[in-house]
Amino acid sequence: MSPASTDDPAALEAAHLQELRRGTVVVAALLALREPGYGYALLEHLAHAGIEVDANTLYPLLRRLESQGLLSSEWNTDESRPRKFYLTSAAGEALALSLLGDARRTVDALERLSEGGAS
Amino acid sequence: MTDSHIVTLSDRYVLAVTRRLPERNRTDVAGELRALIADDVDARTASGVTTEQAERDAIESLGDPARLAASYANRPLHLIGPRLYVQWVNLLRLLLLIVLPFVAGGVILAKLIDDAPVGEIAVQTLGVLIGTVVHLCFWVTVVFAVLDRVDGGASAFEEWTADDLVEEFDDRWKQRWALITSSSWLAIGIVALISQHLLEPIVTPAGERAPVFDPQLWSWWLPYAIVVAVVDVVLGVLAYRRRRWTMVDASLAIVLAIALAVPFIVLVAREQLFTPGLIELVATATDASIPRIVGSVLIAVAIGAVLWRSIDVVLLAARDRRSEG
Repeated sequence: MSPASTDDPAALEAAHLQELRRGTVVVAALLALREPGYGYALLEHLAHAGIEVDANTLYPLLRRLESQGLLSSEWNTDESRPRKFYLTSAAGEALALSLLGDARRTVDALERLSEGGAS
Repeated sequence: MTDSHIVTLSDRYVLAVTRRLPERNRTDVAGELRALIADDVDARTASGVTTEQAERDAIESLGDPARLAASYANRPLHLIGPRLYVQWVNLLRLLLLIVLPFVAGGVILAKLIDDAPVGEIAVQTLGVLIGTVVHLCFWVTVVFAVLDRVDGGASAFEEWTADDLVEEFDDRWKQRWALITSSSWLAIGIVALISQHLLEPIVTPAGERAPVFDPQLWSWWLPYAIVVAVVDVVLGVLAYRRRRWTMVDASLAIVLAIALAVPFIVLVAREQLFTPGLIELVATATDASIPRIVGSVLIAVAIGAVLWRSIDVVLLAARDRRSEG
């Protein structure tokens, strides 16, 4: 993706925000799907939790995580509308927790830098 | 979903996405996508939008089906990605630099032998050059686009190392380029000499054909000139492989240049270089002063070439002596 023009501060911030958030959707989805869930419900769930992600990013991502063995899936045909439910696998959970730990350490480090800069 | 159309907007969208996917994923993705859109439509109608509008909005939020399909299939949305872009540019540049001069030289030579007018030569050369550029760019790009889509395609190229940096600033590539050009000129020159002898492009007023250079020169001067030129190129190759030009190399190169130029100048001055009668032919066809002018220009070029070559090799040797320290 090409870097945003520096002329527009809002576009610039949006571009950097996108860079910063890239990857957090994976962690969020893996953590949220420790309870079985289907695409649209997960999208709503993440939005409520404060993780913004586009539908056309999330749905293909779920397939990718499934092919990597981080999610398992099952068709639920109990209701009138058949839905594909996803569930985080053991490997997926381990990875999510490891990534979460790294994100925490990154935020901690940023906090320390931020405090150091203020003093 | 509404039943107002035989095929609803959602159905069309799902079809548009899945027909771009591999066969084995189609039904699965289609089923999931249908449910996802329906869920979204339900949520939107619940907030008071008409069903028709809700369906439109839901589909538009998913965006271009081609993009979504590429994302599902893990297909790149670019022709040549960042892994191979640099190699692609470098290879293309190198190929164009090497191939275009050869092609241009070849066409010009063939047309000259054919005795074509200058305008035709220019047009033909330009046409062939454009065709060559298009072909080269197209096929190289096709190969790279395929490599970018194959697992391990990037490993077709060596990984960049710190040694490459040395190469980049070392003007070794320039030396290599100089070698390539000097040997190409040698090859072109030999081909030109032989073809002018065999094709006999000159037509005398009597209707007989003749070569440009006096055929008698094949008894000694032309073979001698070819041998001297070959030795000169070999000298360059040896110096390149040794990675330095010594003062001995430089002196040898100057001797070779003089050994080539002196007989050439003598032949031009004595009017023994060209086919007997050619000079008279040119003089009567154009102007009596033309052969004299051409002769002077040829001698000046020969002297200039010797000086140029001498300065070039002395500078090379001086530079390499300095870097030896």
